[in-house]
Amino acid sequence: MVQNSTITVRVCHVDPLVMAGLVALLGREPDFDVQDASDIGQVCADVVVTDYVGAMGLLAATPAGANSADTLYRGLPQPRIVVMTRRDKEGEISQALHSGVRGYLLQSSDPLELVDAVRHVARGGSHYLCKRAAALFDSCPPRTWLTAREEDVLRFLVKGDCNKGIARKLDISANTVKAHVARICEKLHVRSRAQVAIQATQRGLIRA
Amino acid sequence: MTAPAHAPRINVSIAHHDPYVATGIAALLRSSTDFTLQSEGSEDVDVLVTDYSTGMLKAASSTPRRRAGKVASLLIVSEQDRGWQIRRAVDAGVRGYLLQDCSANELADAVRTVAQGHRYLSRSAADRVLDTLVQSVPTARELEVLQHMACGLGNKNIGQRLGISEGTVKTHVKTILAKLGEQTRTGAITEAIRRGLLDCRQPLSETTLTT
Repeated sequence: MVQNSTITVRVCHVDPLVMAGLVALLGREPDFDVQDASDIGQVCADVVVTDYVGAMGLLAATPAGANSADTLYRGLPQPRIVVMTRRDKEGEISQALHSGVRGYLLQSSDPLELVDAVRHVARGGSHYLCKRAAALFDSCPPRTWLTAREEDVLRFLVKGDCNKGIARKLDISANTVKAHVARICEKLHVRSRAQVAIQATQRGLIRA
Repeated sequence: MTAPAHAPRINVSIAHHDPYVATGIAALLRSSTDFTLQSEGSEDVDVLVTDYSTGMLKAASSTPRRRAGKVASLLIVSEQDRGWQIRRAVDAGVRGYLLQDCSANELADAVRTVAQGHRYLSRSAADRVLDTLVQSVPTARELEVLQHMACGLGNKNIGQRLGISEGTVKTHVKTILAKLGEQTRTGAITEAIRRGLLDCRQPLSETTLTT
């Protein structure tokens, strides 16, 4: 627990109501210095609490922080980000964590978890998930993960393309597509294309 | 949020399941002088701000016995943004509907409008409702067929399950594709999920499939 020191928390959320709620809730903690910011860009706070899209944008703008190949960013700490969102698809949660988000909280979480998450992340801890997000994240076994090529096939399959159409678009043979689809079905434990489409859409397995 | 001069004070109560949104609404309304926040369940409430399911519940419980006493006008703030969900809420007697990405001004505007006895739809909510007027919605039977399609069943199988001929199923599927503006079954299913037409939480289970 950080004691006798103030944690600066920058809050920036796309929904004005959630923004106001976050500022009010975090403001109740005496050791938090809450900055209510419409500009997420300045990264001088200990912790940034933001929405999903804001977090991904901020991480994309400060690639890999200290390890960045870009000299401009080398040595600069990567912002410590806590996401507050309604996005509850396991694919989205895992994508956020892989991108470098430190904390992931769903809006159904208890405000106590938010305060915990901010303290945890400010200490340099990583991967604070609210209870539900943690359960969702656990439900996605690593072997579910699809190869890049399978993801390509999946993207077209979900749009309703037939194997031949997908083959043409990816410039591979229809038989290869067939094999990919069979593999995808196996990984998702389903038996038809229709169910693949449903699972992929519901679990957020298609990357934007 | 400047309050109109000499406006009567409006008693507002909040019952929202999302703690962040609830706190946000309270904080924003408190910053305006013409709102008085009342605790939930208090007698003298002009406007009750709720989430979707709480709002629908309150609407259902207050309609049949509209007593002489004052009934709070319901204002829903929700992430449920399907046109038909909003229409269903309005049908049930909800007076105002805001999507959760609304601005502080919209919120204050909505509370004042609803308190005066008018209806209020935020711009994005109105957009969604108007969309439903031009989109053709599948019939109940077509939705049944769609639900079976989503399990990956073929026309013949669907026919057996619903007790209709394969030809009839084919016709239904054709209409469904046309209504959803898609050319393939999978495309139709994806579009149906997007529009919220498929009940995804209870897909027909594997066991029903194999029988």
